[in-house]
Amino acid sequence: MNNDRNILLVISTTRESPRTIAYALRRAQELKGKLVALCVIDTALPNSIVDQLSDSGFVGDKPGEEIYDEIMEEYQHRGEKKLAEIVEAARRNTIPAKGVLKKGDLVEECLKVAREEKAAVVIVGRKKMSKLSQFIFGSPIRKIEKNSQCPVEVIEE
Amino acid sequence: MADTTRILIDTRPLPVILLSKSYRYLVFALLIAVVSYLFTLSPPEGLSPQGYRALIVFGLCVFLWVTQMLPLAITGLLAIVAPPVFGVLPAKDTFALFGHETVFFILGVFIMAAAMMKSGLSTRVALKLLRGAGSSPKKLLFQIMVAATLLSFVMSEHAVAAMLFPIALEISRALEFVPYGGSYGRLLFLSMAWGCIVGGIGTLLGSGRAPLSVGILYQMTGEQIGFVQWSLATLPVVIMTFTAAYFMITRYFSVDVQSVAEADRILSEKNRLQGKPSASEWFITVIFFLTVVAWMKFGTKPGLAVISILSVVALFVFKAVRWKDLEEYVNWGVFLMYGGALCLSSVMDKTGAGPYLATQVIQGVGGNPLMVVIIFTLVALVLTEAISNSAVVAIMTPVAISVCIPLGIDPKGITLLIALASGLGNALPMSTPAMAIAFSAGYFKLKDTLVPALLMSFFSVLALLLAGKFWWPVLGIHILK
Amino acid sequence: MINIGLVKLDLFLHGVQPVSGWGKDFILVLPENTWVAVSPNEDSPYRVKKVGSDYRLEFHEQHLPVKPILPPSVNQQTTSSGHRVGDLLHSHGGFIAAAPRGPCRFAKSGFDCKYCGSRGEPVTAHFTNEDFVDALRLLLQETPAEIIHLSSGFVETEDGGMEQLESLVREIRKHLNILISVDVMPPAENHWIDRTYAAGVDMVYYDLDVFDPVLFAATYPEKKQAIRHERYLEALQYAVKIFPGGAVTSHLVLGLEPLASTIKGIDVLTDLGVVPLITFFPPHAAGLLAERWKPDLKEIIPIYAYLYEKISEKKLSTNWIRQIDVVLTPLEGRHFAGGKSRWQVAMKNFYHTSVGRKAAYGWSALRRKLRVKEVKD
Repeated sequence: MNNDRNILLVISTTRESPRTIAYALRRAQELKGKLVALCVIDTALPNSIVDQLSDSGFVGDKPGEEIYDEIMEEYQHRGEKKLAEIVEAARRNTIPAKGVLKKGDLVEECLKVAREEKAAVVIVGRKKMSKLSQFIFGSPIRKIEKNSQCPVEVIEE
Repeated sequence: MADTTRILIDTRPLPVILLSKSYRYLVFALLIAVVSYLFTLSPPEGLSPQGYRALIVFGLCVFLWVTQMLPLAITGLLAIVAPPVFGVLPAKDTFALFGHETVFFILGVFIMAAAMMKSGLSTRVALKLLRGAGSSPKKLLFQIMVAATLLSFVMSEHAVAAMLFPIALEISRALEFVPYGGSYGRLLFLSMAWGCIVGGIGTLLGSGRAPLSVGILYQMTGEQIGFVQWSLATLPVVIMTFTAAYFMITRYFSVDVQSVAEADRILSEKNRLQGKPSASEWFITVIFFLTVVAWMKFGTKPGLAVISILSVVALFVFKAVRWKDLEEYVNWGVFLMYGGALCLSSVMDKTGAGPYLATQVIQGVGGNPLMVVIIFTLVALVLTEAISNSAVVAIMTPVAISVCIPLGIDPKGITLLIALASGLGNALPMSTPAMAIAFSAGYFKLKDTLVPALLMSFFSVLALLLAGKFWWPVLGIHILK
Repeated sequence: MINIGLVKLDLFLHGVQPVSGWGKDFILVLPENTWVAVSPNEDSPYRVKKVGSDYRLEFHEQHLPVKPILPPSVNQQTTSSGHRVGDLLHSHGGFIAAAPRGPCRFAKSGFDCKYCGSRGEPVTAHFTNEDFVDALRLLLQETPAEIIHLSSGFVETEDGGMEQLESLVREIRKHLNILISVDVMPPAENHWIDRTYAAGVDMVYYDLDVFDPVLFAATYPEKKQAIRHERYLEALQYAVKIFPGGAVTSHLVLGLEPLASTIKGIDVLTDLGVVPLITFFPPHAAGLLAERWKPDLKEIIPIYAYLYEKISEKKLSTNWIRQIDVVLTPLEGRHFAGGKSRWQVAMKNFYHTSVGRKAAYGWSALRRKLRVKEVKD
């Protein structure tokens, strides 16, 4: 087992990624490396809700903060659960694995952890989008591909 | 450099980066250029120079409210200062309009809602309404909708959604739902959101847009829709849309759980933990009820706003709430937004810009009153999916009232239609905070709700038109005179 | 018609006859704003003659008007903490060089490096970043310059020497409006290149010196051990994405490898978007070069012509290579290729003016502000 080869699997709390997870486990087996599962809790959505509540709904700061905390707590809970499931699945396949939970921007956290863990490859899932949709709506996956210092493998869900 | 700082280099072409960072300023510069240019043109025939300038100010505010390039409240401020700057109305007149009683009514309502939230009264009531579903999944959904609807009768629907969200989350955890793992999780949050949306139109308390529309109506025509009249007018609409929503939730989607006993247990436990109501909760309850009675009986004289503020004073007299609590729960931007909107509607009316615009609209749609009513209702319903409900009311109501008068449409009727239609948009997550909150739970995607929401919108329009045709005349509100 | 480029190369090779009172470090500015650092040489066919208040360079029955640039008098001044300016900084006119963290490899082997100013003996006692900025400020008051060039020397750390220079770069940025270039080893990871740019560096040198990988390993075994030859090219390729066009450079030293290999290096580097700088160091009597070759201008001139043509073909910017007195710049290679490059020459002269310096600095600062995002964890 080459524990120096870290395979970084990136998942998020707002999307299911069964194919990506299965692929990452297979890759970890092929490369005989360690699986690092990263779950990024995206703060953009709760922030936008708080802004909407405040700017459009004219609700005070406190309810906004409370709902932000609720959403983040829920995402954290889901993230921890997902990571535990992945680590358990890896363990059943005798793949060394660990879970990392981060809050923030998906691209930034992914690049940071890839660097810290010295990832040999980053595996990330993407919802099937046409090239036009990708161009219009942008793609964090593209930013990861562009800025990553190791290869990035994108799995379409 | 601190170890905790990371560097990201943007390698896009520099003109792209420059554009992305400065497009906002470019848009503002363009806006100023366009407005300046428009000011150099002569007013169109039939419109006074003053009215023309008022129209430009109106257009500017509409643009800013729709795009939200400035916060709504700041555009509201601009609506107050722009008329004196551009020579439309003197400053003392516009600032006087800012202090309209509607604004104080809304403020009083928001403060009372803040008191309810801070004291925990609203949570207590919600939990009371939610208990007793037993193991029936449909009954639980029904109770969630009822709780959301009834609470939205007495406080801001957005605040109700924020308050019910953690309860819904807790229910989903108790029932061990996973996002996208089944249908019922989605239904929990949709019930919550749609209940808030339906309840939010029920009274003048469920949102700021309702009293705003009433305020604009009064300012432009001197006519009033009282607390009771509004509630009665909306009641059938509420019942019809509530029924349609419940039907949609339980029939369009599948109820894929057999029992919600665990959720019921959690809710019972939460109810038990509430304990006895505190003294503050009792005071607030009593004051609130007295306030509602006063609104019903004395809504015309001394007026809704006076009663509202007196109630707020009473809250402080009995120390039911502290000033510090209000600061956390009340968003003072509401003052600015609604004050500005009222000011703008008055400016449009007094300068003749409103009637001029109305003439253009009438000519555009061929002068058919029924067509005008339907178009305004549909536009309000569609527009509210994309922009703030309050902005829709602020933009459309003055124009609609101006249009109605020469066509013989009852301004009360059109005011109600626009206010209610703007509150019933519920297809997209950004259409209203309640939907955004529900969406954030991660149990449904946009495409899951698009069709049912569009069907709901259709039912809503139908409900409005049916109420308008058959019920409102009983209350003295005739859409087509 | 005198070929200025040829004169410059010849001056590198033969130096100029000593001039009384000028010392051994001075620069001659030839026509077309061509700067040359010359060494005194009794046997040189070149001599400087004063004619009225002007000077001219006489050689082979020809002459050129020249302007001498003597070492600034401020070199003898000391900073507030007692460090001599001349010990910290080496003025090349519009280009100031320093090796603040230790001598370069050339200087380590006992010679004074004309390029970075490293001395054979250790410079001075330890000085702080503030001392350095003080010295730089004093120097700039007498000799306005466009760029300060910092060498890290040879280091074996993963950062390529940048970690040592970073705080100094930031200190310079904080106090002075001047472009900054660094001459460092390629870092092991690309994020150091991002960090280099973000710190305030405008131009970067990752010096291969020798393009051929085998000769590279033979010439610089310690470099080869510290960092792979391929890593130079990887780092250069990445740096081209980060730094402005033309601001990524690598030296290739003439004579350390066959000239055909140097040509290949030019091809590869220009394809990557890197501007090669071909250095012609006349072999020092005891240096490595003396073992390897005897320079022949007839062989060297086509290299510079080829470099100029490749730069023109690839449309690489030459604005970043300021008139370096110790190197025949790619733009100066036009003298051998028959090119005029009027626009590039005009820009070069513009950046030498006070307005040009401000414009260059301002544009660089704006570019950095738009591109760099520092994210706190």
